[in-house]
Amino acid sequence: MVSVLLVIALLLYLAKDTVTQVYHSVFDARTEIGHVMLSELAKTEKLTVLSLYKEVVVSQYKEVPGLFYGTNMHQIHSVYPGRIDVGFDLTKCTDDWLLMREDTAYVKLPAVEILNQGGWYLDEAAHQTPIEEGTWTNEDYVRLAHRANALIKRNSELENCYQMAEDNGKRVVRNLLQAMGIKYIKVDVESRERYRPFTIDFDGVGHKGMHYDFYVSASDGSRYVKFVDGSILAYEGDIDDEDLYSVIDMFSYYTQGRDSRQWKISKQGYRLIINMVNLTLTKGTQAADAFVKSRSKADVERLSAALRQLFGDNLQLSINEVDRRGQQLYQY
Amino acid sequence: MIFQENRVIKIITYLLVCLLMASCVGGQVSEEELLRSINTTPMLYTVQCVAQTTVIERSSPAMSLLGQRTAIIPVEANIKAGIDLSQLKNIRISGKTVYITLPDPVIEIESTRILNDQIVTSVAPLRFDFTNDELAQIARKGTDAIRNDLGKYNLVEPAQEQAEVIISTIVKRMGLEAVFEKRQQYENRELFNLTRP
Repeated sequence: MVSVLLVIALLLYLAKDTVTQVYHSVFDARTEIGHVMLSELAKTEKLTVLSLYKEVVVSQYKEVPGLFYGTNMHQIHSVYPGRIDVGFDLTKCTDDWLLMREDTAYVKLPAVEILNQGGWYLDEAAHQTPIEEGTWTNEDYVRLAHRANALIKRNSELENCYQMAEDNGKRVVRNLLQAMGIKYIKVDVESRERYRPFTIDFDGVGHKGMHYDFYVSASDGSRYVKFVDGSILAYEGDIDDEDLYSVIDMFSYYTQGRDSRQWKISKQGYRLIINMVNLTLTKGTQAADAFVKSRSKADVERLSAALRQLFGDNLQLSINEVDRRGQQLYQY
Repeated sequence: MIFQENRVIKIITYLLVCLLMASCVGGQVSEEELLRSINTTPMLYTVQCVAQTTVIERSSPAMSLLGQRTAIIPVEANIKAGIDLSQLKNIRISGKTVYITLPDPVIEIESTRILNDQIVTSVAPLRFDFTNDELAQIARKGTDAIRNDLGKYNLVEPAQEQAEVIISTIVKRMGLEAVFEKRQQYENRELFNLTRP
């Protein structure tokens, strides 16, 4: 009883106006910010003509066993702000990109593309998680961020950001050259046909434990992704990290809509997915090079076992470890 | 009797509302877009770099009676600098020479990243674990520190030099020659105004 009274007295004392300063200094956490390390300056020639600012909400649900019986549903909802810059990389210009013939300028620009560094569009430090129930690991947070990243890119592509950037870019170049005293200007932009966002066809969403086959078709050839119970086992064609996230994204979106309880991406499967950078395989493959992001040896062995199971024991596989910027670190 | 009937109706309505709410909770909205704005200002980005820092958060002295709670969070920010082409207005042409006054460079943070796989946390048994929201709030202090120091990173001069190189090659291709007129000195305080969020 005495101790309770003492605690109340202490709280009242701390809440008094006269000691606001003490209250703040005692209860505030201490934050130290280390030195800011700057990487080497890189020179670029990026002409950005369109910036899209977006905010997306990504959610995840997880089923955990209840304390006494049944199951509980855990959920997390995060809001991620992001920004996509679309424009021209002027280092990709051909030698004759600007030609003068009499009083007319002929400009040939490379295809518009997304210019963000390292394919990262999020302002991750500014994200908010208003709802978080249950326990979630750092890996879950990584996964949420990557899903938001892929979603922002996909939404921008669906909104036809490339066409908007192309139109705006032509106008910008025309204005710039007109200001320098050229009367007639003809601007031509390389077609983005081969970069068209791909669509994913799938049929028959099965139950847990069944095999999922995906045909990812793009205008430069079709790609094939094989899912087994939430893990990607193999894919054909050039599929990069972002393609994979889009696949996961679409997949979880559709399956959640139909039968959310059945679809879970296993931890092992997810790690395999997010860390694969590039792997090119066709059906008659005898040799393959896989590029993975920094992995433990057990993961690498699991990956090679999965690939050998699909493509036979004769497969000559070399697995290269690369860092986030794609530079080789180690060869297994 | 009437009073009792009213009560029964009330209870039934209450149960119906509960059922309705329960059915709403089950909705599996997994992703949606909230906000969208477009900026069509043409920017010529000429230099870029990555800034990295580590934020260390320690629990408050008052609460540390229950045990310590510490987090080490590395954050990264992609920075780029360039010039706003829509501000490129002062162009004079005399004969074969083009006199250009370059606008002030702009330094921006393009994206930020929390290096989730390198986060280290130590939480005493009696304390709550760090939530995702909390980690982000701590990481924001790091990116705010980077944002406040943008002017100190010596990005202005390289950005302007590279912009001159690019524009002069364009002008040369048109058979003309470019002469640049620019402000030589930037005070630190002014640099702060050059940054865009």
